[in-house]
Amino acid sequence: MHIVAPEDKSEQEKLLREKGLSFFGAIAASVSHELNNVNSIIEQTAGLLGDLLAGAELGRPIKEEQLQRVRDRIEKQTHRGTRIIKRMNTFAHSVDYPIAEIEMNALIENIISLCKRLANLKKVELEAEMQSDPLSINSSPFLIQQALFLVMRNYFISDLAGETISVVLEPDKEGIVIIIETAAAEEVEIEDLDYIKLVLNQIQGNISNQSNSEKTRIMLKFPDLSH
Amino acid sequence: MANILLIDDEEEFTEVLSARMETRGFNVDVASSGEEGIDKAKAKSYDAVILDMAMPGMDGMETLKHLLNIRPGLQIIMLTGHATVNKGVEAVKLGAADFLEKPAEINLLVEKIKQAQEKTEILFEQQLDKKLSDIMKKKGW
Repeated sequence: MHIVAPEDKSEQEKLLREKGLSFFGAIAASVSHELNNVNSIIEQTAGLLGDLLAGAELGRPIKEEQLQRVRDRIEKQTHRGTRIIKRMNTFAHSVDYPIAEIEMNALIENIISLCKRLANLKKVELEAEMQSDPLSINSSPFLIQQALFLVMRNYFISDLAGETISVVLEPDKEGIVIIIETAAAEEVEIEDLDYIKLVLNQIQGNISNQSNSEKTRIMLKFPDLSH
Repeated sequence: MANILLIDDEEEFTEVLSARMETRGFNVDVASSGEEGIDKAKAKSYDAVILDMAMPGMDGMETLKHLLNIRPGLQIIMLTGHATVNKGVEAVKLGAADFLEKPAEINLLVEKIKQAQEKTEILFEQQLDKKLSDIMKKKGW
């Protein structure tokens, strides 16, 4: 949906609050869905254990490997659940401070992990290419994630099934750049560009479209606000 | 023994659920995508299909439409997440037999499958009656 950013400052703030909450909700909904899948597997596995015990009461002995498989499955799914909860917890705390010192590798890796399910639903692979050294800037973690999410969402809703979207983090003389790229030459239309620009304006960031006939490439720039 | 097709992209979920259903006397085939489920439904007749709503690529709703197109009257039970219950209602309006919220309780699922199986038998009998009636009319008996 195309949103025209209002000129009035208080209207802009209202829109930022509403759309910020909507972004938070989209991530929370996706995470809760994924946790529900984890829970479903654990519940069915507990049920399977119940079936085995009921069978044992009727004289069908439980084999050791059956119990081992049940144990392995529960362990695997609880680890999966723990990873999802940690990611969500990190994301939830990103609203604690409007401006903070951010380690960008960790921030981008986390939001990419949270968005993988949404990409996967559109049969799109999402991969992150981070820096080997820590890369920190002062900025708004929440707004950076929101801007990145809004750009990626346009890739997800374009017909890119089977393609890989690479999110590359690079240092820049003023801060950092994030490049969102896919080898597909299909046009990715940034529907809510006005609103993305409004988000970026809050933290002096900018967006540029560097797509050509061979690839789609959008670059987001975020300056270090401590400079 | 009822033939069931279970379509869900969560492979561990289908693995455990199908094992539990088999111990309850069902023959269960598994598909990990809508496309695979459609191929299996084209090749074999099922008493009921259990279909997850949220899947990569072709989602549950789209798969439901294709399945009903190739097999009108097929009994399809949708599995929904909390947020997709409204979609479950929408699916029933489109022709799904029923829907269940995940995590699905096995006894409830078995009950719904049995109801679906009964509907399949009634539909089969109705079709058979219609065919016989058409033949009798045609032959003037």
